Amino acid sequence: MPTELRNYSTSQDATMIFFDMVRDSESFEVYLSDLFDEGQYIYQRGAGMGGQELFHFLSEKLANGDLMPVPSGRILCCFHMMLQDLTDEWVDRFFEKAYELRRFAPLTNLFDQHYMILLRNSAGFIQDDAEKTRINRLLIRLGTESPDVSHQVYLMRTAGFGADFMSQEKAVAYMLHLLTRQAYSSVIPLKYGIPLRMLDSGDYYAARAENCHQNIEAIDSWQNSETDPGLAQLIDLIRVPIQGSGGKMEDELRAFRRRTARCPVSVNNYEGNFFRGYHRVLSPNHPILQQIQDEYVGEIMGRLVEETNFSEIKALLRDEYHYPDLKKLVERLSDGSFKAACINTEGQQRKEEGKAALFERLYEKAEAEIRKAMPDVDGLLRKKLAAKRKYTRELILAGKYQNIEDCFERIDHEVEPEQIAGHFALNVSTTALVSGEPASNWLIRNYSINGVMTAYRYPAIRPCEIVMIKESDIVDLAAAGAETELGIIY
Amino acid sequence: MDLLSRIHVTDRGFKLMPPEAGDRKAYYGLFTLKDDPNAVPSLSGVQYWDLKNGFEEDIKKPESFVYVEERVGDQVVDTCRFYYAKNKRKGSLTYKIEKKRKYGSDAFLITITWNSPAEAIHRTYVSLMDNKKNKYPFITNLIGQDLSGEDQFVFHAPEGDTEDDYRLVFSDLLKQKYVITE
Repeated sequence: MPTELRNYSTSQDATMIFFDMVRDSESFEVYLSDLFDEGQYIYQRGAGMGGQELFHFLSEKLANGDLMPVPSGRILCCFHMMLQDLTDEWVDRFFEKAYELRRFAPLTNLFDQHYMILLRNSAGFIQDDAEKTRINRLLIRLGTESPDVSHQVYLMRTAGFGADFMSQEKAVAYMLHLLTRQAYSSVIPLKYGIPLRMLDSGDYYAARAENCHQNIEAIDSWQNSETDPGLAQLIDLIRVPIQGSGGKMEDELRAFRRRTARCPVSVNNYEGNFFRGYHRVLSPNHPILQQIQDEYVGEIMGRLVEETNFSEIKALLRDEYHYPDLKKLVERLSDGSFKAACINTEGQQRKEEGKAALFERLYEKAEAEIRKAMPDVDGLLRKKLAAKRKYTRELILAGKYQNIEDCFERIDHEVEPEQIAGHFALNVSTTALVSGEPASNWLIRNYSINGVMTAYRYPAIRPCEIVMIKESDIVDLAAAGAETELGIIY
Repeated sequence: MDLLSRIHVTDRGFKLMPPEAGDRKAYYGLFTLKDDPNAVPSLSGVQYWDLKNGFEEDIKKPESFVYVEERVGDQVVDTCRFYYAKNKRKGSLTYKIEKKRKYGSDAFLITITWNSPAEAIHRTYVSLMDNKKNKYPFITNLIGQDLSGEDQFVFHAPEGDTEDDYRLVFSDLLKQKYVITE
């Protein structure tokens, strides 16, 4: 019997916040930025935050526009931490946060605010029996306390030398993406009751090797090559409008001087004799004239600063500038040589009245624009290098399946949550997502995935063309023998 | 309610109604038309009117310009200026604009006359306006500095402009004291 392919809407319907408390972990940041668009989620390192702090943190992010509000008001919050970092205090704070976040929206459904707790551990890492007992007790606390908080606890576990969490991390990222979609409940129905769960994923992507190579190359080039040696492009973006404003200021001042003929002046300022008529004798340094001119200069300066915009700076910094360019810019901004390059070349013009001040103010505006658009350069480098490592690891997977048919044949067998000796996973649920070329050829080719009744057409997943996520329950934390069962798993 | 609408002018001076909310303090000072309207005169405190005490500020001079400000702490939050006169009759101020070749072929002469010769007028209360509503300030410190109650000014207009293209505009404060005729 062939697998049925159903359509799935991928518009986002929940706010997603990911707290990463695992030191040196970097994969999630990369997976999430691959799957989610900017403004759709927050990735935050460390979570020393209490409930109130978290509330204010999110309110601020929403107010700044770093986070787009979603009409449903649904919140999905994920905590990633080491198993041994679980403490009573953390569990208390977790429940406190869950209650505090209800201030954002009244719950109409318990799952409106959903939490995922990812506990990372390598088999055999925790040896001490007292430590095991302590963790068991905390897991049971998480499973049994506060039934009015909707949360799930996942164990991310690997065994063996060179243990790799990659397929589980991917599964989490896809899972988060699914859970933030509008129709999530038709694919992953959230269940009451909190068992300890595990996840795994597998995927197939025909052009993976090529794609990885391209991405790695792009990152290398970003890291090493300059796009704008000498920052000439950026300097032009600032200097040209500044010069233009200088010209406008000159025109305005010339017009102003013409206008002063129409400013009434006392008859006492006229000299002459009866035959040749009277003429105006008014020093250009007359204090009132100066005062009027200063007022006027202030007014046009305000207007010129207002109407000059440097909006192209943002696009240049974001889309064109590479790491060496950004680094150089940071350096030149701090030693002042950037400013000199932008406005000092016109020493002659600057001497003229009012212009120096105008140029100064325009430059300040441009610099503020730069600082606003400037990414955190070292943070960005770290992120790019993490992405490079991810693509390098993914290259290993590139030849895993020969073609789609081969993948559909074997994937069900190969995607399986980590085996635990003497322990059987319960309630294994499988979600298969298909997009791109196989989805469009589904009916013609009559595809069928081994062990899967229903697959979903999921256009938001790129670059992978098919993804399978498996979720299984390990231990029912609310059951009577939970503590004994937990003893086996780490 | 803003500050100006809380001021009630009486025969002796003025009453200042308390603000609806907030811990404010009020001050006032007197100034004349020859003072720069952007400058603050020397100030003394004002008691807010209340039902029991009925505080009222006395103004001794028969006619004065009054500046009032309100502060919260050291911060000035509201200011206003108005004209106070014990006799309600307004003064009169007239002006005319005429072509005068004596000062140049494009020159116009403005003559301003008013009936309080002892009072010079700060330049910012008056300006020249053309038919396109451009304003031209007077380049002088004071109008009527010699206290004769009359002063004359000259300006040069582009070719083709006539007397009818120009008029003087006066600030509201000046209009509170003078009836202005052309």
